[in-house]
Amino acid sequence: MRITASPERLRALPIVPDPSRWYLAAVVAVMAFLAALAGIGLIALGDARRDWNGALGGTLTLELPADTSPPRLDVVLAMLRQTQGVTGADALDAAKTARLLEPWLGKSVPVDILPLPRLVDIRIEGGGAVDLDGLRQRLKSVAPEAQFDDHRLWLAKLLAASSRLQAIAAAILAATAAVAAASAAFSAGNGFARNGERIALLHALGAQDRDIAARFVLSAAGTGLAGGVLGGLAGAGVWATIAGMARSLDAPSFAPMVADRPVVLVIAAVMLASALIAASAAGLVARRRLLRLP
Amino acid sequence: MVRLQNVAKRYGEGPEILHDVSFALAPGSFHFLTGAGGSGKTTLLNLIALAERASAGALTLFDVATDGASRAMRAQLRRRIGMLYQDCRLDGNLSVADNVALPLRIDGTPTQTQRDHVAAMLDWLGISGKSAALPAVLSDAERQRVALARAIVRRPDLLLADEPLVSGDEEVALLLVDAFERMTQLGTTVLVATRDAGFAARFLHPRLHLDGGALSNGEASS
Repeated sequence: MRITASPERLRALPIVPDPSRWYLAAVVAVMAFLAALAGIGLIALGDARRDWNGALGGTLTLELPADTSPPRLDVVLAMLRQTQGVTGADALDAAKTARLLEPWLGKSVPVDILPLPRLVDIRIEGGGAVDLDGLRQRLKSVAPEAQFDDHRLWLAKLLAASSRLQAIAAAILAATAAVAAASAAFSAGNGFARNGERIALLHALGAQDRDIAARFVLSAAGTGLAGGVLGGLAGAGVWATIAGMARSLDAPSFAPMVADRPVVLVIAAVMLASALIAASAAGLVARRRLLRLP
Repeated sequence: MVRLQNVAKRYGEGPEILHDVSFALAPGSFHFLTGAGGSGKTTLLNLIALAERASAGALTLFDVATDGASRAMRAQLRRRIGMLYQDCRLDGNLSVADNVALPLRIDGTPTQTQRDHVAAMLDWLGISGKSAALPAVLSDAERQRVALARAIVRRPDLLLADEPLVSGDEEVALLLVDAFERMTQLGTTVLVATRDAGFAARFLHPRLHLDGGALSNGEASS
């Protein structure tokens, strides 16, 4: 007496839930790859934004003409110190100013003969909540030629751009999840149709919906996980290459992007999400199709 | 065991296939369901097997009102019913043994028990030599025995047979009726649909006769 199925297969219902499993694995792999890159990008941008925000918070430099008289300078300092968000304002003396210029001029240049601008170092609160435009307006009345070092402006633009980039990365993440879910649903529907006659027979013989659906859920979870691992690893590889290049360039702007731990978490999350998304989409489709049976 | 009260069936807006059918089958009883082709026998069996839903009336199986039963409950009830389909409904991609094992597999019966029960069943029906064969290579009579084996391998409380006697093979027909009678001795309720009222009349079992979708009270003419 021989039974053709192996003991393992005898335990589960004889359904081949996913005849297009390689197609599904490939689609999920590509989606996982894109999701991994988008996720890493999202985190890197978040890190960079924190750094830039910190830079925004720290200090601010005001530049006054070289011939600004000390009383006028005092008025400016007083006005600055009364401004909300400003925790301190000090004029740099000639020696300090000269030290700042040293890298460009060298030590041998007698800086005291140059018409060096008067620099005021302004310390501002962490949040960076200083009304720069208002301050500029008020300064105009006492020191019309006063100028802010405008790296803040540039940083603000960078921050705005990076938030748009983050939105794009989030949209890519959502799109990859949607495509993975749709592919898994399509694949499960295909599998259900191909097994239609046998599923109807199993149903007639008393199989429970949950047992039939479980075959689709487990199969899609396995396929999704395989695709997710493949795509996630590819994403990690690309990331490692970029990070390696950034390190070898010694470019400080890349420095916040090479934190490894969050990247590992993102890759793991992408792999897990691939399995979960595929499994739930397949389970949903199987359940809905089963409801068509009496 | 099985009780139908004023059961009716129609598909969509079509004509009523069954109207106002009421009867009850006692545990361990054996009934023939006779009637001409198209009189509603298969529809009635499908309703009882929970393969269709009645459009009106109430069906009670094993003291459970099937109308309000959940899908899980209905599946549970199906496990207590063996159905012998007119076209056997074997899975062409599974061997004879795998086909017979399907109900046990659905129940989650341990693998070794599955093997033992299937082997015993095929042995009893004299087809153990065919256990590894695919249904396509079997004769009609062999296929019917496989279908019977699958229908009774669980020792169902209710056995429904749709037109099992039409193969024209007198010997097979007698073997089937003999098997059904043995099942009743084990407590199984048996309902056998056949358009061959003459054959049914050769046995002492009571007959339900369907005429144009309605149950006629008198005995069928033989």
